[in-house]
Amino acid sequence: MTILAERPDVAAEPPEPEPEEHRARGLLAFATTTDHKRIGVAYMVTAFAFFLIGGALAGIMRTELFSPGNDVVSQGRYNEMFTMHGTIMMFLFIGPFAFGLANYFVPLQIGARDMAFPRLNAMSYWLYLFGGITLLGGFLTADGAADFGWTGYAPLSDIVRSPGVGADLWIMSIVLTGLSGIFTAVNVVATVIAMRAPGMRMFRMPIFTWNMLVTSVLVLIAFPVISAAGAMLFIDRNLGAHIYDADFGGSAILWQHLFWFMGHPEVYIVVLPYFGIITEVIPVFSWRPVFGYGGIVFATITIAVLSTGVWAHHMFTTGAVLLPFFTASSMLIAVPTGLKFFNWIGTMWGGRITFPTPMLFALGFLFTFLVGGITGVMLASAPIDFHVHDSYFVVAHMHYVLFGGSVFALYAGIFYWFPKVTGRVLSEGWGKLQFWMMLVGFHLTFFVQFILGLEGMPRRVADYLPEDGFTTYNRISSIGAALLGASTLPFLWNAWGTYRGRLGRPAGNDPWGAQTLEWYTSSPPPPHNYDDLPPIRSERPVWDLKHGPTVASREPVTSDG
Amino acid sequence: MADTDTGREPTDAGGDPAQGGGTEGPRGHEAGGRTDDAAVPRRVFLTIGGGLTVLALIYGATSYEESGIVLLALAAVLALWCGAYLYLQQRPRQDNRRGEVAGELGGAAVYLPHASVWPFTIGLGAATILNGLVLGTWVLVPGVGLLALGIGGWVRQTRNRD
Amino acid sequence: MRYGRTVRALLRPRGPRRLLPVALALATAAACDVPSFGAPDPASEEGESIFTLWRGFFIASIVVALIVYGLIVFAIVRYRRRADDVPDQKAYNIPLEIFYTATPVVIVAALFGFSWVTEENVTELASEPQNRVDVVGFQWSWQFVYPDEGVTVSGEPGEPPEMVIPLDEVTRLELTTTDVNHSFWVPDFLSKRDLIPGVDNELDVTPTEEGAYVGRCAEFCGLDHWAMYFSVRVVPRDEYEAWLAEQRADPDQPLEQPADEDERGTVS
Repeated sequence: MTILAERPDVAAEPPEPEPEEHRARGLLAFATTTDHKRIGVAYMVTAFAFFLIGGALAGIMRTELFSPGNDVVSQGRYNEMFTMHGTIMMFLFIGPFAFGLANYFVPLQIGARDMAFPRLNAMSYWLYLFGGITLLGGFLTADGAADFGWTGYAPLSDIVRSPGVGADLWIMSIVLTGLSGIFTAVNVVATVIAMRAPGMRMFRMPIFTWNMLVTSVLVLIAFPVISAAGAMLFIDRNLGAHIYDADFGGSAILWQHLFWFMGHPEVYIVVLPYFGIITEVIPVFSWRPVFGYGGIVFATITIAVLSTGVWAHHMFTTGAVLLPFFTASSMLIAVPTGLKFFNWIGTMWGGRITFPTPMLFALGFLFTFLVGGITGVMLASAPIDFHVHDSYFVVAHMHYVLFGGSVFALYAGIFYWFPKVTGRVLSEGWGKLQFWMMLVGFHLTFFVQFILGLEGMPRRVADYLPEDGFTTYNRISSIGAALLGASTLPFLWNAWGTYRGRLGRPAGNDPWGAQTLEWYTSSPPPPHNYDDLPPIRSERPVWDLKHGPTVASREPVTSDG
Repeated sequence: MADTDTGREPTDAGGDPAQGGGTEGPRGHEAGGRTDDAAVPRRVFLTIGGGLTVLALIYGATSYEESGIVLLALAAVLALWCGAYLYLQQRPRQDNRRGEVAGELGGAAVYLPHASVWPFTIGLGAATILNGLVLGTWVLVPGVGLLALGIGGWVRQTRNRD
Repeated sequence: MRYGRTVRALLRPRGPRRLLPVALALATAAACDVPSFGAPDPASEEGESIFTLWRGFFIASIVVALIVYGLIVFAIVRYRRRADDVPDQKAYNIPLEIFYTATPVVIVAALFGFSWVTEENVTELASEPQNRVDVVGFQWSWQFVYPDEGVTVSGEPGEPPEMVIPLDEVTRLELTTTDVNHSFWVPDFLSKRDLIPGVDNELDVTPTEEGAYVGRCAEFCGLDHWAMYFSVRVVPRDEYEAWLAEQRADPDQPLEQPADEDERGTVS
């Protein structure tokens, strides 16, 4: 199973474990941990904290837009807010949360005892944390945080138009979090290739692990580009270069190419892991296997390839890109995504479906992401994009796929895996309250934004005029946002209360009647993850253990397994 | 109703759970048991690299936009490089124990990665250096010190454990 | 816990209840301008082209959404757990999978074809446009220069400039800027084009309806980006001539027109 040479650091005889009295405690233990489970939890908790900060910024923005002329914050501050909201959500929340889940569950799902490079893993987390703090530091500077949109277009982001140091901190935080992501990607790829347990063939891995593998390849392709682009912007700003400066023979539009070459794979980086979660949850609560496993793997790889070739659909209105190429590639990428949808439906089809909270969130995902995907195909059409580009139509689309997609799936994953991590199942009652608040709040907030965009409301506007006719829909949106924000409260109460033992119920190894390997071990797992392993002869070893091997009719069981 | 009983298993009474034909390997491959598993990782990279090459060629031929061609070509090279590395690294299959219960993992004396303060140090050092480039030498210099300390400690730890 | 039990009792999920938000959303949609769904009535030829394409996409989307939603709702209602037996574990159906891979490809190909045709239509530049306006964007307003007419309209933050163009004629817009990125968007024309330093964009507009249409900047350009309004007024040819004459006679009109775009300096 391992195709690489024996790891030199694994001694023939395991060394003695560290004596009890030398082990670090408390904060020092946390600062020196190399355990993938602790690092994974650290990622997720940190990412969720950033989520709350980004969400608070959104709340302020929606309050500002409740009425024209409302001055909750000044224009300059508003611009900082949408910049930081986007940057925090994309770079500090939704991606790192997925890396946290990967850290925790990829080794468990493949039967490994840790990631391939534990110290590198820890370093990734610290780079991420410090990168996030660097970004937020912008708020403390005299000129405030970066305020040119999370896309940082040149020349608005050059030193003349954005002289504040918050912009430079923005650049540095992207470099740091980019490095963090790259190292994690390397770790995931190496772990998946080299550390699978006996019997865990590639095509028996859970789809979540497959998706993390493909996500990691995308990270390796995309993140170096933004680090380079950011470094070039830094040189332009601080060392007198003119890379993005059209006045001196540079190219302002080069920034857009570089940014979006990262930016588009980035959005698939933050959605593929969450597709993986959905593919974990739906089979469990349908009592069926993943439908079309091979098709899903194939579709994921296709998405990765295509997502690298669609970047300039963000640039249709620049007049400087080859429109048909990007319309074609951008529409084509809907096909593998659609394939996954049908496979999810096929998984439920003929099953015995129940609706605990993880499944509710998965279904909420299906209903909501579909709208996001369909509007994506609309945006892929260059002439339609000519009208709605840079309008609230795009804002609605992106939130349908990022929130209605990734965040709903994220909560499905939290409710699904919380028992494995903590040994307790989250409260169903509070979970259902949260779900319905979130579903209604989300659609109220973002559905009307499609209409606003079509009617002519641009994005990134700190205000609008009464005669624009945007007020009613903005009010509906802001009310929805309040409900959406409030839906976080049942969750926080639920997580805290369950963790402390006041809510929820204790979980055994397998509270859901699940299928994949991580449900074999205890909840939470021991430090070395597994005391022993069941036979792994399909993509659902735990199901096979309980119900007899489903492989029996397809593969001869020979003496060598 | 069903929700609090989500841990309930289906009853297998009578029926043969495998009668549905079981789960099958990927479309286009032989049934999962006979695919050459060791080849799959490199095939993933080579497929991605191949796809990117196709994209780069089409884009290069139809648009005359330089940065996109370079970026797609670099991405293709990256994926193909990884695939080529995996191809060249392949060893004769050591694992003939597909599906055997792995009992050898157990026991309290399992080797686990040691704790280490060097990842934190390097992380902090790198962040301090980058912040120092923005905020000034008084931040930059300690950052360099931290990074040097961290790298030194990491390397020393690696050498000692071997 | 008392609250938890009550909450759980109130929110016991029923299949059809899950539809409620979707139904609400669709009802909202139905209430507004089906089948345009919020897109403005086009006031130009290019806009009509785009509007037709948009309407086609919108209808296709509704059909696809209804099919997929229908399948999901059917599945969760029909296959709700009512018994404890192990269901059929069949995990593949190659002909079906090929079908639902190939069909979207066909659909996408059709959508692409329509898009391509429309795109060629609306980006086409007339060989001899009847009128020309040079649009200069800057932080945070616009300047409209009529190089062949000797007229310049300048706006400033708080005073949106008005571009007047004749009905049923092709007006070539030359879009330039020397500071940051902007975007020229008239929602009633259903089209926009960016202004990017170093990239000189050209856009043809053939208005088909008289009227005054609001315009907005659609690329974030800094502090007063939201306030970078302008307007476009479409009038018959004779009124246009009259307006031009009025502008030329205006004592505020600059004596020296801004240099032709080839000569207009780019080095600041």
